[in-house]
Amino acid sequence: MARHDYDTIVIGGGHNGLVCAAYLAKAGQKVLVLERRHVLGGAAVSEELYPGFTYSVCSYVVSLLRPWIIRDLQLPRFGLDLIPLESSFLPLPDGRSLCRWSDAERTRDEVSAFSRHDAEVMGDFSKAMSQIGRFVRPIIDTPAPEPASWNPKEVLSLLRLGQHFTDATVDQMELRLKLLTMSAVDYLDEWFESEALKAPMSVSGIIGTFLGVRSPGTAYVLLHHYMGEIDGAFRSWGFQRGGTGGVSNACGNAARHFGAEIRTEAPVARIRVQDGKATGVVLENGDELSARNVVSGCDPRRTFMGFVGAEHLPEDFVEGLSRYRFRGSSGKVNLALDRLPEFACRPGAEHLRGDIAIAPSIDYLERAYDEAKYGDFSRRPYINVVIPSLVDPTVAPPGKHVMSCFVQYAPYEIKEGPEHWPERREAFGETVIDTLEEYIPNLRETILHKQVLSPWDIEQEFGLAEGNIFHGELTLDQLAFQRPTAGWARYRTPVRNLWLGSSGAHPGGGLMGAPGALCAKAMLGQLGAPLEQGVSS
Amino acid sequence: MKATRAVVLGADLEGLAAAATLARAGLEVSVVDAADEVGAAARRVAVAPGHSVPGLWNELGLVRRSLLASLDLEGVGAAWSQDPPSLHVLGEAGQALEIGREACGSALDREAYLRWRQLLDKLASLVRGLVDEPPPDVEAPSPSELLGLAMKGLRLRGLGQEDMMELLRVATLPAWDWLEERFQDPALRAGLCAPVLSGGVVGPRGAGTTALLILRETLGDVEPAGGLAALADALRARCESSGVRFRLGDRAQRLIVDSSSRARVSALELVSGEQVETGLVLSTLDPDRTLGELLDPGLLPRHVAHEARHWRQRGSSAVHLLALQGEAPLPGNARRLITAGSPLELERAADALKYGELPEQPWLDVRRWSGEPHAPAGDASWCVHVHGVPRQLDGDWTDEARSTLRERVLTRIEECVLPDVRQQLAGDELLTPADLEARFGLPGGHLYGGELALDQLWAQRPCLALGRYRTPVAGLYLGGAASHPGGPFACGAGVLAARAALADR
Repeated sequence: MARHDYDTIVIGGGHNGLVCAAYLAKAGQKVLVLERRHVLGGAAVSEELYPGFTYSVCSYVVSLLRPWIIRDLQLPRFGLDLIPLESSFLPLPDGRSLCRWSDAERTRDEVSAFSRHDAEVMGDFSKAMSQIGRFVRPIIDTPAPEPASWNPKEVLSLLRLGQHFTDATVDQMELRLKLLTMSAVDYLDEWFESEALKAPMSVSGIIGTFLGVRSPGTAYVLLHHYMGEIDGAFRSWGFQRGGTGGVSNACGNAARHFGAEIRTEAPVARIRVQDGKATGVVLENGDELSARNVVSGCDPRRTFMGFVGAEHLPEDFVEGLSRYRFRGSSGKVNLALDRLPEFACRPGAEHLRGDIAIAPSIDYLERAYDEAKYGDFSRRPYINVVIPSLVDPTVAPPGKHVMSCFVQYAPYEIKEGPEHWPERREAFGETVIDTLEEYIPNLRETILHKQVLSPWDIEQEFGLAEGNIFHGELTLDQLAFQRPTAGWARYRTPVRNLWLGSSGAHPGGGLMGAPGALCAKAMLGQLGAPLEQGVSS
Repeated sequence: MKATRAVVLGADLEGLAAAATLARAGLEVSVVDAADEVGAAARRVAVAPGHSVPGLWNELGLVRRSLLASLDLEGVGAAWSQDPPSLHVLGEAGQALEIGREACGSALDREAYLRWRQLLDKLASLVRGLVDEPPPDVEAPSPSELLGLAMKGLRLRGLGQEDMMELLRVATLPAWDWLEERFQDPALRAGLCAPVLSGGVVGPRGAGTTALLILRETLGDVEPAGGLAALADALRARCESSGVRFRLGDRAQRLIVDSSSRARVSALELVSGEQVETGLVLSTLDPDRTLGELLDPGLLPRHVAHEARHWRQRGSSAVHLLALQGEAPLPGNARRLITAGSPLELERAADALKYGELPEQPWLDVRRWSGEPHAPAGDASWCVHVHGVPRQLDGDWTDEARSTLRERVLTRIEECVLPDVRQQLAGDELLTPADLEARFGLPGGHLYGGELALDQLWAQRPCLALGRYRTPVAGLYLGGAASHPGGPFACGAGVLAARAALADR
């Protein structure tokens, strides 16, 4: 039998690749992680691009990182250190503002200035959503079902899924169904009347997806806000101390601790395939490394079209992949600031310690979408701002700040063609700053350094196809047993010994770690069944 | 034994179908409707002397003929047109293209179209089974229902792995994406998805439009000959022959409920002051009107009241009726024409809806009626659906807004349908969603009794708790267009609700 250099080679040192490597190494495998860039983390990365200022370049908050992964890999021991976000602030152009605090009482007071009714129903809403969150949690923590299979085990798990769904009162079932199919705005309209509440809430339904807040199918992403878990506390979002890259580093340290080897600046050119079987990788420098198994922590397009090649893949699989939609729709602007920005509508800093949403109305968000639909970035985009230096002094010099702006919509497919993004990048950055200056006068003069990332840049720099932050849109037709394509949602691929353990696999994108961990479990024969208890506990 | 007395609220197609079904089972049925005529949107509407249209819909092929079979409408004059009009769209040069024929120009598209039709043909019986039966009881399914569900599951699997997975994949997909995957010709794509947009507020990029597309394409069948008005006439005749009494020009004011044990309907109070003793009320009014206004609020569980209140029925089209002197043919001699040549045009028109604005360039769905009784010999009447027109117009439906919209429609017709439309016009009437609400009793000005969206179909029409026609009050049933199958799948809800009521006796 041929000897292999490694049991498993993981391509891509993003958080999923590292989590996968850590699990495999922990199980005793000889593992190598290959990262193209000079730093680990993929899109969950921190970089000091201006002296003294550390940007969380792409991903900027942590919420869905699975608690069982944190425990299994002892991530806090290796540097995971999450600081909960304390508030969610909405400045309005008319000088009003609304801050939602982690303290429910305080939030109620703020909301009642906009709507007494909304203040009253907020508690019920959170309760209902958390209930649904508990319903969904086991689904994302266990493998996807296989509805086409006749295997009795699979049929049984489908029935169990049906039972899981109907094991509720009729009004709970109603909410679950609605959440799956409605638009975020229609869903919120059933609860709230104030736009100041609905607009910033509805945007969580569109993040990373090329849809508008009024597009059906956007409601269920609202759930993400009620599923975040930090230290077991439901419904919290947090910053990693030192920047999001710290999460990846913790995963990397854990992997190393368990014996994995990690190489940076080691770009892979292709996956070696012989007789339908992956046997290793070829690096861009020509080195060949052999392994019993290869795991891709990259998105499905890069993995299969880039590293494997259609000639090694069945036709229907290639067709399925060609229909898989990436459609990146967001960009990122990172700023190093000379001083703390001051919002005209509410001076001070206390309300800036969480996230800040530029989402003044539903029509505003919808118009932003319309512009993108017709091939341009939004003139007035939705912006999600965080200033992590307010709660984490390690990321900026004293008195100075870093400001991270997630911007939607910035479509990958601009009408000039995506390759023309470099010519539009500057204008895009200016649009973002102009928009912010409507709320923070004189912001521009405090900027010491600026990094603008269009979806094109995100693709070029971080390898995310079409700049989609989730390795493919999180729409119903691309989730669960259909991620990345029907029949291949269990981390296996049509190439034997090649596995997909990235956000392009179930349960999808976000800083969850679940695809990487579940992929490792599948390889180790410990995957279990959908909804099976014990995996997540 | 004295026949049970039943009251049907609303004399639209659903109400008429329900009343006829109940009466033929031996019940003594009255139908109450605020209007002086039966039919609601299905009644004949005069446009100018000698000109009229037989109802306001352009989509007639989805009427649930299979469920009407038990009423033997053919015995009272109903007929079915074996030759429903095919749909035309406008090509780039403004020429009319027939869907499936010219609007399928390239060899690639022709082949893709055939493959697509094959898939739909395979789905048809499965879909028909879902539409023509009551949705399952999700709370406490009976063994026979579980068996029925299991059978449906098996039939789904019986499609074969490839087709089943395709169906699961596209069910929630926007029609834009599905059609783009399959066809090149933008006119073909526009023509296929345009008809299914009329019941909702989204454009082709809206998720769920593929599901509607599949419903339309698998269920489309023969049409009632002579239009919906002829169907309404036949239903009325069938009602009358079965002893149904009509109380037109009156309205329900309050349902009187006996709450001594389980809440049960005991009588109905009408606006005229009359009180009708009855143990069975079948309402085709919208859920909130039935449950929220006619019932004592204390009788409803909170979530049911909540769901009824949030039934979405935001009208999204106006209906422009035109009386034309002369043949006024549509391009390509089409009988029904969509004036959009690409999905993009459809999408743009839907944008205006979101902001409560008038669409700059609405797309039109034109249906031409000719011959008696629709128009004098040699003339025509057109029923033009104007899409992307919000019920809640920013600034309200003033005379100015109305005339602006009328101008835009006429201009659009001049541009791409009939250049001398203004010269040939013998009369016209623009019915805004507000008019549809006020004059035809259509809540929200919605032509189909509630938006056709994924969360408002099947067991969720109008909501899970009410999805089987029954309500928390015994003897009170919902059977209007807001119940399954509802919408353009006319008469299904009325018949199925009546059957549910009969089964409970």
